[in-house]
Amino acid sequence: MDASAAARYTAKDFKSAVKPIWCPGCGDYAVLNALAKALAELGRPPEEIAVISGIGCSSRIPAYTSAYGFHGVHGRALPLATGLKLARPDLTVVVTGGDGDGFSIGGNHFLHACRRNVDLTYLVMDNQVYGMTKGQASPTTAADWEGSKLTPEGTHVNPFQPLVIGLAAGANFIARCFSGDPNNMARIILEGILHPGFSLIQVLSPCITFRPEQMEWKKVVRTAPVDHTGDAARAARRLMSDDGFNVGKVLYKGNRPAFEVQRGERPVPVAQLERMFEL
Amino acid sequence: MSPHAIRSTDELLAHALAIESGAAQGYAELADQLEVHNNQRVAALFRRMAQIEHEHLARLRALIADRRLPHLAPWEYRWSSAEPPEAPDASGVRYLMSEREALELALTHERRAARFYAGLADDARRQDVRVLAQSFQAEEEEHVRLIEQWLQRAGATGRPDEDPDPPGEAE
Repeated sequence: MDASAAARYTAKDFKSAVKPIWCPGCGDYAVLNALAKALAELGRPPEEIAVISGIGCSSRIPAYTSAYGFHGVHGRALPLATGLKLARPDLTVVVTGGDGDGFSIGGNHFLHACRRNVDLTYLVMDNQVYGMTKGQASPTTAADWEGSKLTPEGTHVNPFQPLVIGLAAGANFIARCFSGDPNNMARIILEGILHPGFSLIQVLSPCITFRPEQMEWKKVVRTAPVDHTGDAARAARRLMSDDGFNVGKVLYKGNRPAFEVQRGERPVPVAQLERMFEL
Repeated sequence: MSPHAIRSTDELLAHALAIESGAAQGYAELADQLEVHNNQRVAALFRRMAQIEHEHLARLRALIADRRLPHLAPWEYRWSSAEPPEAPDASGVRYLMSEREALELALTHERRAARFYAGLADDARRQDVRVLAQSFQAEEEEHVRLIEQWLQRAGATGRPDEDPDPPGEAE
């Protein structure tokens, strides 16, 4: 980060004029603020940053930032972002979305994005529910949650563990944050952006409307007791015994080189591509 | 980090700037949120709070004038809360909240800001830092009194209106 450049930008420079329409009290407001603060500290102008998303409440973020953005197809934010980063490695590419978008319909893309280790930062706002479609169980919902009429006795399915699975699949940076601490979240987002390769940041972001009990998370979360490790086996043991409420720190930092397009295999110019598709 | 680590007026001004900007922006964002959800009375109240904070911010900027303040990243400020003390807690709002609830939220944060400056003034080792912190404390206490007056005039009930469209009803 260039300190003088960071001072040139403020969080406001990274917000668009579009007003968010999330429910008042939603954790995603804090995530948007944290992202804007992190981008201001990064010190790059908005036009050198792209925010890519799929579908869902949290996937609306690109519209609320002044960076380039793409509000894509459900579950397909990661392949979109991968293509963009490989074609334009000079850009900072941030991917945003929710637990339903990322781990259900986008689950397979999630695994392979971790495995490919392209230099992306994936910010997952996890509220353990499909909020946009009015409150159904998502992949990270507890097996016994009875809050949806679709699963009145719970799903009886163990929740997806994104950080353990991300680690096993090859993510190079893993962290968990809480929306109630946006300034620390901004620090971790910046660290994730600066770390080479695929950075996975899970944010516990309460859904005030369909999971109002999550407003109690602020009383439950705690700062993770240990600092990050570069040892994947140790990180796995920690994550396997973790209750999901250790937040505010980076948990794993690997040193795998980021996947890049090899020299000499740069994508052809757009004009040439268009000619190739001419009928 | 402890607020007591603030050692110069420049550092204090940098903190005050973050506090006032955070409050002005925070209240404006809450006003936008409540406007989108058609709670116009509470939106107007938050808009008024944003205006008050903007006026405070303008006075602060005039005081800073062309002084070059140290750049601090958002996580480097020395307050013990997650957000600047005067910034309203966005997780504390509801789309059907009452004016009284909104005022109580604002009062909490104005009091917290006053306490922040009071603690700083008490522990300051330099006279100029102490005097400046006390002047900021006095401004925050003025806001506290104003909100307390508004609270006296607000309706007695803190209960939100009944929700005509409860979540999950149409699932």
